[in-house]
Parts: sequence; structure tokens; C-alpha cells
Amino acid sequence: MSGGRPLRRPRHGGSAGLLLALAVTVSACGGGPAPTSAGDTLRVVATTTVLADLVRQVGGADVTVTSMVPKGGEVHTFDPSPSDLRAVASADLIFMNGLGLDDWLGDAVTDSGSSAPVIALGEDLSGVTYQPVDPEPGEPVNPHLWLDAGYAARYVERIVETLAPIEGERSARIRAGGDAYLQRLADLDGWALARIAEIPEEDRVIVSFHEAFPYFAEAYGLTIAGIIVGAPGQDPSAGEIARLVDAIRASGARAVFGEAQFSPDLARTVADEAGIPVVTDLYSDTLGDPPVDSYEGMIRWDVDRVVDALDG
Amino acid sequence: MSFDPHDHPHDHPAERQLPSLEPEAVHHPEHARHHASVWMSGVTTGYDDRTALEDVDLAVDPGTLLAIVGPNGAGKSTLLKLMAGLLPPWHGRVEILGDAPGRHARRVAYVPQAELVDWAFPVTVGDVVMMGRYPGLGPWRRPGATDRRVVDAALDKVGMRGHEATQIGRLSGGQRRRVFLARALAADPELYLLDEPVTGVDATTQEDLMDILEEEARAGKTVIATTHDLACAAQRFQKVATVNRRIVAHGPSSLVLDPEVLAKTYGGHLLVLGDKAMVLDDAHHHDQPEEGESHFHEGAPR
Amino acid sequence: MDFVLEPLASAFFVRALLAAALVGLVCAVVGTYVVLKGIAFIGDAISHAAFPGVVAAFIIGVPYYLGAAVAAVGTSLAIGVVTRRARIRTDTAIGVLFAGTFAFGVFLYSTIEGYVADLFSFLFGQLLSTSVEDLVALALLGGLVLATVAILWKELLYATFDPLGAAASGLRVEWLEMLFLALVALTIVISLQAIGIILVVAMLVTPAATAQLLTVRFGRMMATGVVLAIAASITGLYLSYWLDVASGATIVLVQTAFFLAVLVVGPRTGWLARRRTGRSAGPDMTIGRRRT
Repeated sequence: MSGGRPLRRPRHGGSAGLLLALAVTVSACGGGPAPTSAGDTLRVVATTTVLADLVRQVGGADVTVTSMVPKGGEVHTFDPSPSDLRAVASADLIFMNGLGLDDWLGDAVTDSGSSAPVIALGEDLSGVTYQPVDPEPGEPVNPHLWLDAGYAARYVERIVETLAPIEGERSARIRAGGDAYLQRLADLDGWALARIAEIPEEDRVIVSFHEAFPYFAEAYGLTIAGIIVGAPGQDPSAGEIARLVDAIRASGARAVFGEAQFSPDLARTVADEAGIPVVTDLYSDTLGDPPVDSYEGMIRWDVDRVVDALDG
Repeated sequence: MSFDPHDHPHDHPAERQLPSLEPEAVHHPEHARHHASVWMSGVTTGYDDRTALEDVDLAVDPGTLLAIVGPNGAGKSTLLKLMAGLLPPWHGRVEILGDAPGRHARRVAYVPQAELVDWAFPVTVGDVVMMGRYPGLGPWRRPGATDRRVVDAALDKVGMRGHEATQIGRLSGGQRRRVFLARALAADPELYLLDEPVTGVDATTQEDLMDILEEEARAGKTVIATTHDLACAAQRFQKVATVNRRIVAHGPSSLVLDPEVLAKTYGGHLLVLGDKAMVLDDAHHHDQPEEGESHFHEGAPR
Repeated sequence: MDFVLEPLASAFFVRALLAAALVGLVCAVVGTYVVLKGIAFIGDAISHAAFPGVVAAFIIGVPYYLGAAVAAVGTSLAIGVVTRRARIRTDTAIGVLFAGTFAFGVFLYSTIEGYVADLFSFLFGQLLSTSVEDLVALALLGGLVLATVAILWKELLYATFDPLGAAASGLRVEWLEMLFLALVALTIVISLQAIGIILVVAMLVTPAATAQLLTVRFGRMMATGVVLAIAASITGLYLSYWLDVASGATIVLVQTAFFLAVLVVGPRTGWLARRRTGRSAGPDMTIGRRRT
């Protein structure tokens, strides 16, 4: 795909992965249109609503995209339902993020007997500086690349490279759609950078709920002073909260940001304790209702929430 | 209730051999009803689908000391529960102290079989006897000096003063029955309903408890007790009703407890040798647990 | 001293401490009757039944405790009716209700397409997120439960000890039973935020069961249970602070440790006591006497 790299398989894909990779190559080389039992559109399954939106923006009316994790759902701890497996089984193409975010897809693909190609959008991207989850070397990398609009553009490039060959005569339309979207993402990236630059530099210190925002922070010039939960589903102990509050006070963090798919109580507790404002509805892993129903809407929302909270 | 051996119309052919033992209430229901502490007419009841008692007629006058005897599963306890308002009649009518069962519950004291009591429960002798005062106190009010005096008097009467602070599980079988009788006394009731009050107790306790019950009956209280002990029923109770799903006979103990009646009540469980009758029935074996009942068994002492 | 004082500098810790102590107090009082009635399983069933209520409240958009209260009280009354009327064994009926209601909660949960806001935190509670409003609600509802017990303690005691004798002497035992189950339900609802659905049964049962090993008097059993529960809440929360472990679970573990310690070295039931007196503890001290 991008850079001629072979497709990355989900971690649990096993040897079936190789066959799937071949299937893509074959259909790509054959140049014919993909199997289109659902009318003329390509049936694409994405693991999250964010990835689904990226695919939809590129493919337009030529693809039917569904997300496995529903809007508002929690991707790290997701458990696919029978209808998710059915969607996977009948998919022509599957997009995942990879990097440990949505490893459960591997089992879902195996269980459903799907032979659709699986593309991991976040893995082995060129021009991306991966950040480890922990500072220690050899640790797994943080998967939340898409929260940097510049890195989301890398995802989009890979989507275009995947869709265009399959779609045959419509590939020009796909490429044109991709180019237009990449331009919008570039604009979005610039807008976010400019918007956050409005905040005085010493105020650009935040606390996030889970480990979702390092790329966002890196891209737009924020410092993350602390994280409330190490892993989603694992609440901090009283001692950890107390130390986090100390860290917040020491760092001068200006606000605590909870996320829409998690309970706001903990974020509120930490913020109250540290005496700083709390924003409970940042979006990271999932889209929501308008205006947060698209990737662009989500980034605009998050940037506006951050600026409102820090530039007060 | 007067006893008239010559008056014997009845509905049940099976009872024709024992006409003299028919209760008067059947013949003069309205008359008996006005005086009676307990009055039942044509009562049938049971548990779920199982009939335990059928077509029971019974009238018990105030001041009566009545024993209910019969084999296991004959419905003795059921009869008491009916009187205590713990079980509704399916058919027929029941009046207790002149009204529907439960209406005058505070004037009724019911003592369950020892097997139905959780003896490990963290209550002391004093606590249990004080419970007899609770219904009269009502919510909000805590037991006061009067209540404590009544409890002390009741404990005195049953010979359990000084044991107030003992947990009930540490008492002997006889002491346990004494304490529960004291609880009934503390409630100062008009009607005592006692399920096996003297079963499994030593002779002294049996004599003491019967003396107290006799005294209560003399004072005009109605005392109805089930028992397995025919000798006790014959010697200490003024009247006896024999039960086997129906009232087989009811009248003065000396007349009711004859071999013919007993044979009819106990069926094959009775051994008659000359003029002596012996019930082949385990007196310590209680009835099968009924719906919603829990029986408590002591762990075997090591 | 730092060991004790340092955590108190954090307001959230103080709120959690108050909440845990209050929940321990109310649970121990109600739990005394739960243990004596032998209905721990019913308590567990009611707490699981609260889950569909929490989820439904979220879907409808009302406060979680309203949904939890409706579901828990409703189930407790259903259990009251079932144990009285059904012709199957009570524990079987409750097992059916227990699993069925909880499964319904998970089912409802899985139908939610929108923001689920971490409803599963109710399974284990979020003691550390106790807000001032939570504390106020806890104090009010807990006060309601305690006041009801204060008014009806002797009636509840009589009806628990000897339901037949109590009913025959004029206490409305069926009514008291229903009221008591509703009190259990309310106690569980106020404990959900702190302890969660899965562990709340321990708060109800363990301190009272420990107290039962220590005393033969009802009043002392309740008082001992309350002291043990509050001690476990405080010890558990401090331990969770210093050991960096989950607070609700640590509190329950401390309660369990108290129970096991009393079981082993307690003055009445412990093996030390038996060895000293050289005799069995006696029938009244037998633990876990079965109702046949």
C-alpha cells in the first residue's frame, strides 16, 4: 500500500493474514471492480466511528461504511456482538487502527470467517514520530495518532491507496475525493495550530482522562501534566489521585479534560481537588452527535473546548 | 360447654359410633358462638393444594383447658394456626374471641413448636419474654418499668428469674419451654395457643407448666395446647379434642380418651392392651415442615 | 502521624471516608437483620437487580439512583411475593430473578448506541468520586433507613426471631417483611456509588456476621457490627491510599479479614477459646446452622 508496504495484519490474524493480503493484491492487479453484492457500493467495515468517517469522506457514495464500536462506545474494552461479526463476514474491506487499540478485530475476523482484507491505518506510517505509551524503550506505542490532523492525513492517504485500485474506473473519483479531503485536513491542522496559539504558552498545560492526547498535544503545542486512568477500566487509587493532584499543582496545569465515553465523576473529583476547571466532554476515540459527528467536527470541538478552558 | 351423651344427630356416618362425643356447638351453633373463645363451623383448610383439615366444627368456652391430640400430620398444628389467624380457612367460618381471627390478636398468645425456633438467635431470656409486651407497646415506644415488672413476674412464675441474660440456645429443653410460656404470660392474653408446650421436657417441668396453665384456665383464660402425650392429656387437661384431618371427638378428657376413640384417631398407630392404650408414635418427631416454615435443628454436641 | 494525616489533606479523600463510614453504618444496621433472617442471597439478588434500573435511568435521562431505587425496591417486593406464594424453592426463585434481572441490565446496556458514560463503574463503585451532593443524598437516604429501623426495631426483631408468634400476637409480619426488603433495597441503592453492585452484599453481611460471632445479644450484635463496619471502611480506605489499590475492594477485604480473625481467635468461636476451655463452643455457637 503506501510506500509499497505489505498490508499489516491484525495481531491475531495468523496465517489467514497472508491469504488476505494476496486477495488484495489479486483484486488490485486484476483491475476489475470489487465484488459488489450490495448494489454498486463497496462494503467497508471500520473498527471505530473516527476511522469510518475518514473512509466515508474519501469514498463518498461509492462506499458503504459501518463502524463496529458504536458512536459513544469504548474501543479499548469493546466486545463485538453477533451483528458486528455478520458485518465483518460480509465486508469487502476492513479498516482498523492497529497498535493495540483494536486488537479484538483479529478474533472477530477469524470468528466470522471473513476473507476481506484488513488494513491497519495507524501502523508503519512514514513521516510519523510514534510515541511510546511509557517512557521506557521497547514499550508499545500509543495508538491515538489520528488526533493530530497531520497524522490523520497519513491515514487518509492509505485509505485512498487502498480504495482507488479496487474501485477500478471510479478510482479517479476516489483520488479526487481524497485530494479534496486532504486539503481540508491541512486547513484544519493549520486552524487548530493557530487557535491553540491564542493561548498564552504558560497556560497550555492540561490533564487528560486517558492516554489519548499525546499526538494532539505534540502537534498543537500543549503539555500533558498527567493522566487520570492508566488504562481504561482501571480506576486510580486514592494515593494515585493524591499524587496526580500534587503533580497538577506543581505543573500549573490549567484544566482537566474528561472524555465523553467515560464517566465524568473521576475527572470532576481530580479537578475539584486541584482547584482547576474541568471539561468533561472531549472527544477522542469516538464521534458523537452533531457537531461532533465527523472527524473535522471532533477536532474543531476539542480545540474549541481546550481554548475556552485555558484561555479564560 | 356442657356434655350431653344423648344428643347425637350428625352428618358423618363414620362418626355414628361416637355420638356422645359430638360437640354441642353443632347443635346449638348460635348459642355456643356467643360465649365461645374459639368457634369454628364447617372449616376446611390446608397448604397449597393439600388439605390438612376438613369440615371442622369446634367451640371452646372461656376458662377451658383443652388438649388437642392426634397422630403426626393429623392437623393439630394446623388447627392452632387457624385459631391464631396464621392460616385462612378455605371454607367455613372461624371466630376467635367473637371476631375474625387476628382481629383481637393482642389478646392471643401463640407459642410455636420448639423446632420452629432458631435457638442460635442472639436474644436472651429477658429479650424473648419482653417480646410478649411488644405488640401492646406498638412502634415508637420502648419497654418501660411496667413492662419490666410484668416480665419479671412472668419469669418468676415459670421459675426462670435470674436467667434473664442467658442466650436462649444455652437453655435446656425444659427451660426453653418455660421461657416461651413466660413470653405468653407477659402478653396477658385471654387465649393461649400452645404448640407442643410439654413435648420433650422433664417431668418436673411438665408438672410446673401444667400447674401454670391450670391456674390461667381457672382465672378464666382459655388454654388450648397440642400434645403427643396422652397420659398428660388425660390427667392434666379438662377437655380433649382428638384430631385426624377432622375432629374425631371432643369432650371431657375422661370420656374422649377411650380405646374406641383412640383407635379411630390413631388408626394403626395405636396398640390397645386390655384397658391400656399405647400410641406407637414418636412423640419427639414433629410434623413435616409446612409451606413457609423453617425448622431448626441443634447441631449434635461434640 | 503522617500516615493518618497526609490523606486527610485531600478533600476527595475526606468525602470518600465519610461516604464509606456512612455506608458501613447503614449496611451494618440493616445487615444485622439480613444475617439473622438468613437472606444474604436476597440482598445479592436485589443489588444485581439495581443494574437494569441504573441503565434504564441512563437511557431515560433521570438520575441513576431513581432508576436503581425503582428496580431494587420493585425486585425486593417481587421477591417478597415470590417467597410467600411461589411453589418452588425460595432460593431457586431468587436465583432465577437474580440472574434474569442482571442479564436484563446487560441487555439494556448493549442496546445503547449513544454515550454509555461508563455505566460499568456501578459494578465496583466509585468511592473516590463521591461528590458533596452524593454525600448529602447518602446522609438523607441513610438517615431515612436508620430512622425507620429506630422506630420499628422491636417489631422487626420479633418478626425476624419468631414470625409465627409475632403474627399471631398482632404484628403485621407480612407488611414488616415487605418494608424490610424495601429497606434492604434502599440501603443497596445508597451503597452503589461507593461500593458497587457486586460487593455491596459483603457490606451488608460481613460486619453483622462477624458481630454475631462475638456476642449473643441483639443490641450488642448491631452495635458491634456498626463499629466493625466503620473501622473496616476507614482502615480499608487508608490501606487503598497507601498501597495504591482499589478502595471498595480493599474495604471488603478488611471486613473479610476481621471475620476470619474472629473466626480463628474470637473469644466464643475461635479455636483458641475451644482449646482453652477444652470443650466445644456449644450448640448455640454453631455457625452456619442450616435451616432444613
